[in-house]
Amino acid sequence: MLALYFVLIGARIRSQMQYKFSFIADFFATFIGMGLEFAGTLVLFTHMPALGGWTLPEVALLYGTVELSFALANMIAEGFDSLSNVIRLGEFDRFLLRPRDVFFQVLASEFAMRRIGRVAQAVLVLGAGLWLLQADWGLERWLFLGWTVLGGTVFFIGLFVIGATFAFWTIEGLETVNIFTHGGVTMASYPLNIFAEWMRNFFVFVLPLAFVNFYPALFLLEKPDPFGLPGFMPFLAFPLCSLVLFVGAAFWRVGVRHYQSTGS
Amino acid sequence: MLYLALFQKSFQRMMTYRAATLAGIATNFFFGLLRAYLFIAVFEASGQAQIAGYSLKDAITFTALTQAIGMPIAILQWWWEVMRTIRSGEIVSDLTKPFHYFGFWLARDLGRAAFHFIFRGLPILLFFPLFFELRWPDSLAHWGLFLLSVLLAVLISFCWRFLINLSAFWFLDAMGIGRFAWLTMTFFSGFLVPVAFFPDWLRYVVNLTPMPAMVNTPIEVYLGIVQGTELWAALGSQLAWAVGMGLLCEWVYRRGVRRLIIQGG
Repeated sequence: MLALYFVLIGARIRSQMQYKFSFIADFFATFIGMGLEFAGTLVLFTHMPALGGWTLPEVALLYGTVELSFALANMIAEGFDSLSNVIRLGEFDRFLLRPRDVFFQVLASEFAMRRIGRVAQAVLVLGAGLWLLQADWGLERWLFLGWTVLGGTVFFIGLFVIGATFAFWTIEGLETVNIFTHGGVTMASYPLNIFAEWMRNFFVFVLPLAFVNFYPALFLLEKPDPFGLPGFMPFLAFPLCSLVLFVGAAFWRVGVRHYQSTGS
Repeated sequence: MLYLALFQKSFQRMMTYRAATLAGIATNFFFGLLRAYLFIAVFEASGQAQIAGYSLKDAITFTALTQAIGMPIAILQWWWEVMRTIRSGEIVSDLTKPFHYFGFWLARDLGRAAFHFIFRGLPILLFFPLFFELRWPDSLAHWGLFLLSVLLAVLISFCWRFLINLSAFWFLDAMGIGRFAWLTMTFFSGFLVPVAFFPDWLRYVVNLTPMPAMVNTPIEVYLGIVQGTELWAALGSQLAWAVGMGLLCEWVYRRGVRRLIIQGG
């Protein structure tokens, strides 16, 4: 199955690389354009020494990890992002006819190479942050950082799957999911402790966004938990992020069973 | 009149997307709150009552206003329609119709913007006071000047989008150019952070472009940061950008049509 995935994705990537000029133009557009989002934070830091007790390099670590996770998830889960179009055009039936798992097919149907610009700017900000922090970490912390990014990617793929599944009922995609995906990224780009209590509680206890980067960053930077929760919280990060994908996959199965074809 | 009808139809077309409108309001509102808490933390950390002439109340009002005018000014959602018709060749049927091409799209875009201002913008301003105290214009004339500034900002934004869309005459795939034009707009227009907060050199550079006239100017008019002669100068500069860019659109369009090659058919 994994081999098949790489065959299909490889074909996708090659086809997107056919238009070299437009690929490069798109890369720089996204790289610079998305990077300007962080320029906003830089401007704010010219007026203050730290934000909610977090210095600029520390905020760069938060921003870099969540952006990287989100951009990777966006690349991988593109098939789910465009699912509502597939359903509306009545093309989803085709997936059901093939002798492979539907979830796998949708996952392997698209790979958004064009999002690489966003990945690159996230890596740049993350790298700059780590460099300014002069992170003198042992191997286990570097591994933990990689593990964190992976967890965040799994988390956002889970959210994309949940968002896409609604399309089985509503045909149109559900725009409110943007609050959790794009809103989640924006929120997680800043220290969670600057937001209102109800928002924090929601993103710690209901949707575990806090575990995408905030708790892992507390561990990496050896900062005390502003909410006074137990010290093992950072280590729940990966399991909780996986849980989101697990819930998404379960919801997906319900959605597929509910699918009624459209079109004529 | 034809253009009035186009305006009306475009407005009505937007009315049909009820669920999307509600979802959009919820999303914009959430982003507004997020950004408001961000600015509260910034003011707290700076230890100052005012940053670059903005009080905290001004900054919170800024977050509500940007979310409210973000849709009319099409900064939250880019506009690809002209590019799409050039790429698909549909533009041919538009060229054969007896209307002014720029006027046709402008009328439709103004219809869309009017809808977004009423149904996406005003609800944000109405609900925001549930969480934060906002600053309000102190007179009807002040409201009028703000609306005028928003209208000019929509015109400038339209010209900007139209120009970028026209690049499809020269480049087969102008998506990258479009995305770049869109993403740069969010920062340089003062949508993310007020232009007044920028370092001097950056503010100087940005003020040479039409970017601040799309977002920063209407907000400064609303907040009363520009007053008296400064206010008229701000509106005058918006008007100059709108007229200048409108003429540029017409010129670029005429050149573009001359090189138009319709493939297939």
